[in-house]
Amino acid sequence: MTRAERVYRALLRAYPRSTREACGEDMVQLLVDRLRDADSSFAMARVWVEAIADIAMTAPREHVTRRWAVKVVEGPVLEGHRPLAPDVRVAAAPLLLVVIVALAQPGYYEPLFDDRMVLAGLPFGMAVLALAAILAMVGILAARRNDDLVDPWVQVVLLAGVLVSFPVMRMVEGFYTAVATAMAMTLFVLVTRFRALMLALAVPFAVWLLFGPPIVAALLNSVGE
Amino acid sequence: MALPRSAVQILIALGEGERHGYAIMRTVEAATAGSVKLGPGTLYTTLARLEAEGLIEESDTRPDAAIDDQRRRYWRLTTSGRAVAVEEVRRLAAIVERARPWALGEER
Repeated sequence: MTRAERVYRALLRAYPRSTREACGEDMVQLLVDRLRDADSSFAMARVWVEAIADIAMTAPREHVTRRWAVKVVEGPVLEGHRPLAPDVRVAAAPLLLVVIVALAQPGYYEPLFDDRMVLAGLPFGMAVLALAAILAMVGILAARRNDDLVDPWVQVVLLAGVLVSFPVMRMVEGFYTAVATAMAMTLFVLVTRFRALMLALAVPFAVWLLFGPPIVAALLNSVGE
Repeated sequence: MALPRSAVQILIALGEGERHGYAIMRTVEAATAGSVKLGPGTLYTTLARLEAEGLIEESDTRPDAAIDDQRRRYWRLTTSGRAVAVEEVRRLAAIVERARPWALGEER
């Protein structure tokens, strides 16, 4: 395999897996033919520019079409059209937990917003995000094997979008970090309906929401002493 | 049936006879004086869609290994694909015919 083929095959990962399986080899063959017939360095560069522009234009369309096509062609019994309600329940569970705990015991999450956490070098918010990112990668790898509903690379982009939205939400006065994180998670899971990540994130996050505040309070007390 | 421009170009190219992907691309490029270039993604995703709609089918034809790569897939129009291609050509011809007097200064 030539270097050009390897590079082009890597670029083809922008397409959904089903598209790559259906016509990936043909696309590689066509690029190889065009490069073979290019009679100058300039012509070869043009072939590459056109091929990359072509991917940029057609890959997003294929992702959208694939999502639609799965629902229409394969029918309601398959994963492409699985019921939304169970996904919503799992996705909203952490957010619901925050609301219930906050109502039952106001101030329970206050230790998480103590300035001494930052002064003591205990950026728990960032730790949670790092954990979420690691779990997300685990989920993405799992989804690659299971061929989840949305292509994993689209999920990576969506996850990045959610992580970027997190600090923006935190800038809103009085907006709790826990609520912002839970909302971001719920949003992400609902948009992607990423089953593997949903389960990978929801359980540890719920545990952190329940047991995080007393742990942080104990750590702050030890720092303060 | 509303077809994208790339699909129409492919159907018209296949109207001349069965072709593999690269030949379709070159035929379209030549027919449009280079103004339409079908990239690999556009070409093969459109071919897949046309096949799914029953307008084209893969041909059993395989070239002699000495003159061409036998992995190439050749495509041809189905009966309904030919009917759609003919209809598209008629529609385009009617548009050109209507525009000739003012655009090209030709008498009807």
